[in-house]
Amino acid sequence: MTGPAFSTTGREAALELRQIVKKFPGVLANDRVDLTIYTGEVHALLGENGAGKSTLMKVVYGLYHRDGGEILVRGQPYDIRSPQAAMALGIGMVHQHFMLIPNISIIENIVLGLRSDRYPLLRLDEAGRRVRALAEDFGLNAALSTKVGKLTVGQQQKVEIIKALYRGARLLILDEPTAVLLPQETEELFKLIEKLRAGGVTIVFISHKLNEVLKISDRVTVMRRGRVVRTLTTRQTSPAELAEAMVGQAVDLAVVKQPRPAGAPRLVIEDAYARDDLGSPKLNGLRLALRAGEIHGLAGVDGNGQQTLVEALMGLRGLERGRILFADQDITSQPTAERIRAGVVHIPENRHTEGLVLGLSVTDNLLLDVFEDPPYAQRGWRQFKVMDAHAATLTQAFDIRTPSPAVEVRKLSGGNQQKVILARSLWRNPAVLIAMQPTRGLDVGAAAFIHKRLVEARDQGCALLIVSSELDEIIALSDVISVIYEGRIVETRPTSETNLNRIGFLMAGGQPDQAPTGRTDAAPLLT
Amino acid sequence: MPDSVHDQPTARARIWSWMKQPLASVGLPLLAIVAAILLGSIMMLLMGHDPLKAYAALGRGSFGNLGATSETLKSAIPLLLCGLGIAFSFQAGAFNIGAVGQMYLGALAAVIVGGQFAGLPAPLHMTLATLAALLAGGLWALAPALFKVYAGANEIISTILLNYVGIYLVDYMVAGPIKAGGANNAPISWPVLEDVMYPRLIPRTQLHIGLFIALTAMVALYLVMRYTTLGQRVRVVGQNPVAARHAGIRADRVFLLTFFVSGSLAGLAGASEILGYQVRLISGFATTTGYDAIAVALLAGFQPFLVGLAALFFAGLQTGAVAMEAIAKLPSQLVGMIRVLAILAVLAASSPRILALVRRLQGEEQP
Repeated sequence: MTGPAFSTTGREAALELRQIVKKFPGVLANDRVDLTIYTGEVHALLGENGAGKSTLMKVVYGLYHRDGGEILVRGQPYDIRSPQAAMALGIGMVHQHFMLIPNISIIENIVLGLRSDRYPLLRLDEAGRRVRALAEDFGLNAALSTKVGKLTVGQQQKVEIIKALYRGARLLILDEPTAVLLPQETEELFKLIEKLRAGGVTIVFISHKLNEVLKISDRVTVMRRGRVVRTLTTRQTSPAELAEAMVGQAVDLAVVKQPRPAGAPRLVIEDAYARDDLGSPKLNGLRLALRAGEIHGLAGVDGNGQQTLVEALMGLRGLERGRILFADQDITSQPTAERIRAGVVHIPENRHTEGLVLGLSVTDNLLLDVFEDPPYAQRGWRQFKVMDAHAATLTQAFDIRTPSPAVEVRKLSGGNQQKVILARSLWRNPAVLIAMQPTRGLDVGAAAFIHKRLVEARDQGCALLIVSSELDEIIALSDVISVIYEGRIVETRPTSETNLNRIGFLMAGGQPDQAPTGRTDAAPLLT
Repeated sequence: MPDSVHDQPTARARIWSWMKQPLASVGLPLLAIVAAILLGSIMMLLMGHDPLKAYAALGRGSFGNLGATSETLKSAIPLLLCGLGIAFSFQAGAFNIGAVGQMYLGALAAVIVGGQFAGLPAPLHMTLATLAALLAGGLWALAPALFKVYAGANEIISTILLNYVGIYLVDYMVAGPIKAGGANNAPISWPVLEDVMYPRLIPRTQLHIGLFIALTAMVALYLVMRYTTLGQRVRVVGQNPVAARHAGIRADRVFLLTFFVSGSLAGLAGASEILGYQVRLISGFATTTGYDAIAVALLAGFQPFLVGLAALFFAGLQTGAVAMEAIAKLPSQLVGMIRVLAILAVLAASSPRILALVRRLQGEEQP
């Protein structure tokens, strides 16, 4: 970005939020949020997943109705109850998952649901002229009669933006727009955003990626656990300051950990290449070694191969090249069930979709990966007494708050659900534990409990890999930190020999020899 | 998140949570049946018939005497067998809509094996014919399951299409390769040898030991789902295949297995029709049973014993309909409409929207 720092003086507030509250059952998604967006600025909403950014903007766009607070558009209070109402006020939103119909054309998608002056007939020719002008302006190089399903993701996103502008949007909300894009498409999107800003469109850019926010925004508001932490002028801030704002306070993550020498490498992945379901390469020659009695943190921007790495380690995804060694034995082609039996267990990223069967009982979920093995089953017959005793022990040992282990796991709070998964992973002292986002969306107490148990597992000699988008969690927990970027480990260093700036620099694709140096003392950020 | 909310449910909440489960699974279908009866009455009144008389005839014709009851029980056998198979597959998240075709293949295998190999000891021959039907139905179902697992083909579409293939295959077979000999030119197969036929349970009725086969299958399915690791595997995969995979369960294998079992039960239904009382396979011998069984399974909420009740209900409608025609002088088209209305009402009661409503009643709303 060039030019002077963005100034709010003399600008009109395009959107003003006062004390917005939004609740879901058991979750306070937005907690008295104040936010002012000025006309013509690119305003980034930065925060981790679950911080409440998307919820807040869905309240503005009329998809959710607020439980409290006021929304002012250009100084006037409005009660926005539907996206139609939001659009009538000139507010448009492009969702992370596009709202396009793949088997009809671009132009039909854009006018979908709008009344032409010859209703009920469509007037595509007339609409076409206006849309074509927009499309040319924004470099959408595809005929308007092309079916949307044939477009690349980047092009589809442009169609979404044009759709919003065609419907009169002057304030455009982009929800994690780069999450689905390739790097070059991201570049193009940023150019498009510059153009929109030059044309007087106000933009809210939702992201959890520091480097993007720094690059594209005029001002940035950091959210954490449903609240606004602070609003900063991008030109006057630094990655460190933003990270610190995202991370929050020391009390959240006071992990007590004694230094301990690490043991031998226990799980090693070498020279690994793998693709995701869509066929894009996600691991590009990755190597990583997890040692007994050591917590290994994996830092990286979402989508750089973390998911694929965990899947490969657990046998949920095959490797194209490379191998995986467990206790010096090649387990590259061993199925998941055998790895679990051998003591390689994991905490999946999403507890609802991957970790639990919500309609089954706490007992069933505690036994999800062993219910076929003795003593929980004999010759195919389930042993309910043994299972109940096991469940009773675990609910007590892991402080799982449930009226009874026979209750559906769906009815437990998020923290207790995560404890069910934790108990299932840790009860038999696994050799290796791979934990993905182990405390995502949990309150401070539950997160601290889980951190404590992870450290205990390490003290008992377990080799742990912690994958988290919360850098503070990684720094507080890990003995060693690796940074992953585009399917490769850029650097592995003891936590004491690296720091947040360095990790952030490497996460954004910087070279290790140019990275800032320095030590991480006990808790540098956490004061 | 306030954990304390979950710690101490009030007594009232506990009683309510204890009650609403059966309310949802029994109350809703009952309501559907009442609605169907009312709708049927309105139609009868509009067409100038007396609903009371008609329903009385329906009752008498389905369970009024020993003859009617045994006829109803006989009709319930294939519905129960197919319904159990469908319930099993649906619980694993495998949507087997192909019971019609699988039943046809079972009947075909039964008539081929049962009509040949004269001289085998009767019990052995009977068992072989039954097993052949079971295998034929199972393999017919395995094909779409393999398409699904290895090629991603939608199993609902492929099973429906294979129904047609099964029906046409039987039509072809009874018109040619296994056509009855003699002067008769009708498309009808050779008969099953007399000593291969299932023994009768009650003299002078058509009720046969196929009923025990079906009831055994019902109890077996209950035991499997309730007490075995296989049942648990099916449940886990059916409710969350992704979590199942993460826990090391091979969802694909469960899918193939449930499809095979499901098809086997439908094949068994085909065998019990032929070996039970039909003797010969004719073109169009059971075009709707396999579809009615889907409604049976849905009405029962996939619970084996309730599948038994639902099969009885449908069979009663079927035999009672004949009496409605004969005694209450209802036109057969109207009888057919009333029957289908009942099925429709049941399907409506198990539609996603209503299920969502039930779930909301049970307080399971998620953000």
